[in-house]
Amino acid sequence: MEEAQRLLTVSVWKLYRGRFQRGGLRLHRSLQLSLLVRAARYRYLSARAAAETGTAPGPAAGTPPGTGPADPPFAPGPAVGTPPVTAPADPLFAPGPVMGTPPGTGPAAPPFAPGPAAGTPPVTAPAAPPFAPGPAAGTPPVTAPAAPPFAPGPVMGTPPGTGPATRTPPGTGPADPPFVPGLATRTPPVTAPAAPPFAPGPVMGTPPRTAPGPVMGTPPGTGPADPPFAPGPVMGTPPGTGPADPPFAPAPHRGDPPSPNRGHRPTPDRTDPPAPDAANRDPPSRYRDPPSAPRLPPLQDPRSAPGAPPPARAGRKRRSSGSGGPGAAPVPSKRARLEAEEPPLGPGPPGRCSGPPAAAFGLLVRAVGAC
Amino acid sequence: LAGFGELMQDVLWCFSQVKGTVDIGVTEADIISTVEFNHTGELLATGDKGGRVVIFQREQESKNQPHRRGEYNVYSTFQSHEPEFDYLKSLEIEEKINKIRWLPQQNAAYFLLSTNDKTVKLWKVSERDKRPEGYNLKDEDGRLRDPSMITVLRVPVLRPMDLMVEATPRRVFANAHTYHINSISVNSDYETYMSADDLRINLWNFEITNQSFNIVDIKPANMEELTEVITAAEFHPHHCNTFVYSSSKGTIRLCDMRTAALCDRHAKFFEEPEDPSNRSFFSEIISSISDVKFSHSGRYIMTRDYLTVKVWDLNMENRPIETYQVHDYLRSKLCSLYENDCIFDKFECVWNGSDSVIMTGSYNNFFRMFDRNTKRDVTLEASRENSKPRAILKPRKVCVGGKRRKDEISVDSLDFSKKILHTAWHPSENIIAVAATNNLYIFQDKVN
Repeated sequence: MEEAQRLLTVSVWKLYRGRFQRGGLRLHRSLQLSLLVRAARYRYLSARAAAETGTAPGPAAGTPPGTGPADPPFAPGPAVGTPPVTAPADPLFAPGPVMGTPPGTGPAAPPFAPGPAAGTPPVTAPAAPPFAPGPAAGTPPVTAPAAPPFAPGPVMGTPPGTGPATRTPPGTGPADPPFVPGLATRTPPVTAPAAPPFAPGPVMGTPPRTAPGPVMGTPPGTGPADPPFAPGPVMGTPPGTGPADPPFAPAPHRGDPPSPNRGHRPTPDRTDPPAPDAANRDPPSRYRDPPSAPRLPPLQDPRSAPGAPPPARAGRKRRSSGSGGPGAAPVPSKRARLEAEEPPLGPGPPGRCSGPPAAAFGLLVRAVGAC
Repeated sequence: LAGFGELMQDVLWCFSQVKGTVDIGVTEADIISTVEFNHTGELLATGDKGGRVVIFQREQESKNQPHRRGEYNVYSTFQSHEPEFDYLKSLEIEEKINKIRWLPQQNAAYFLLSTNDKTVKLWKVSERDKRPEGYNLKDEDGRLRDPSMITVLRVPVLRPMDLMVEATPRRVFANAHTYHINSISVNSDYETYMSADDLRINLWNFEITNQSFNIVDIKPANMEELTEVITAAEFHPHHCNTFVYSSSKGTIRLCDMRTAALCDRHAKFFEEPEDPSNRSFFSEIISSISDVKFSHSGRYIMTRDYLTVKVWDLNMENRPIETYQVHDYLRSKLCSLYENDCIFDKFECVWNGSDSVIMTGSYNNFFRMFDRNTKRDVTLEASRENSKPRAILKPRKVCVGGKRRKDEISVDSLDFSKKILHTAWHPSENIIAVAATNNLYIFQDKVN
């Protein structure tokens, strides 16, 4: 588990650094890193689940569920209860002290915690938190882009039909599939896992402090295949659960133009408590008691205000904090949300690892597991 | 030729030359990224990370020093590729030369292909030792003359001049690869060649630069389903319809272009079953093939992954016929090598002229040779300390554990920043070129 934790940290850092090297992200390198991240993450979560439940991992623990044609990247680890297999003495990579906090201590577990013991039905995702900034006035909900795991930066690949590369006319050869993986000779018999490791646990944090989207991690069997490296939690409400998508352009208004005061949001009353400044980095300025936090005034339908500016067009690009559009509620930045969830811990021993402090490991696990 | 085809035990390798600076700090642009002899062995080309190509030419053997083979001296140097910027993707395109491939010589000029991550160029290297003089419309300085001042016509003549070697780009094959080019290979018909990137292989004609044929495409419809990439590709040395490409999963596919226009379906599939006892987090990474080479005979394929070199018979797909451990003592160090990125190093491998010996590089400036007939192997070091003329290279040995002898080196003492990734073997003689970071070492067998 420690090795998996360490590898996961190092791998994510390598993926991150790869984006800044000359020539851009190397597909081969990022593929290898992603496969290892997936294996290490699964190993870590399996070991942690086994440690918490006190049971040995199932016989198919080496097979991450949801894996497509890819072979399981590693053999099942040692059963829980057996002494961990330590690597031979390696002066270049001394084990050192344990990174992070031992299980059962420290802050509460991250929201992406393994579910109950094997045999129990998976826990369904809880309902969306009541305080979800959701779409601001005039802005349609931001849906999760289909983040490719190996290209978190610019999209790679040319659309079909472009580029000078041409093929011989169709019909001259058999309809070959684009890629046939071939015999998966390394794939052991895949059996259903005893416990779904991706069953989400209790939602951590108070409702207004949680991500304004679906809970990290999806119940098994739903959603797309878990990408080994997702860019982060989804912002915005899931499609179909938020208010009706406003049209891009307001409906044409017939008749006299409205008065200047119509359609504007009423100015907040002095007696109303100020809106929470969730993006404020100063903790005392943020609300500590979310249940008593006031609700934002209801957003008006921009169709009733032809004079209002048209909503911003939805796109793949997520807006950073502070640019939510006119009249939008302040969206907490990703860093602010992550900081609010766990207090940062001190860094590990010097020279131990060139990656991020051990305290951020939990954040990395969640970030990698989010989809 | 003397020394050619002899067994390993009879060959004594001697230091011949070293090219490059001896500075403590290595400029990244000077790091050699590819080495290639031409078909006759007369020329030796190197490419570096700065986008430059340096060609060495072998001098004529001297009668005064018959025991010394002809030395390689600089013949031509030119800037092949420049750094570029893809504004659409906001990505910088490195000028590093990934591969150089020579074309067979058909006239007095030499032709070679050089490639970086995105663009392949065909260069013509020619000599000019004469210059025309006596133009009527311009004077010797090149300035135009007033036609009204010309009263007498003369016939221009060619007069000798100092030898000048000029390299000119004859063709530029660009905008055909979305991903990074890792291989180029000239076909045996000498009219076409192929370029391979991570997901696609394109077939080019030397005369056509604005169009190429895509012959292999392994890009999945959903990139999240990507499981392997193409790591190397090469044409068969004699059959112009056959080529192989290796993958990051340790597999080799042989394709026949006569079967279909799109060679996504392989004709042969070479894969060795994995040993479950060696399974680890890094199994996927170390099984990735970094280089694939046909033997000169065309019957065998040699592949290099992180720890081994394997020789495959084209007639047997289920396992290699020979496996050589290059540096198996690193198997227990994979975690450390992963952290310092050494596990991603891509070593190349080469055949000797008779296909009896194979060579590949390792760390600490070590390189290894394996004799396929006697099954003997030797580890040699490319070092400035052994750079005395005609100094015989002493075999080196890595001590895995236990008591270390005087001339052995411990695994923990290996310098992983000194690595030999690129090597080349003369096509007909026992002369090898070994690239050690920014230095090029040339060794040859001792002439008895």
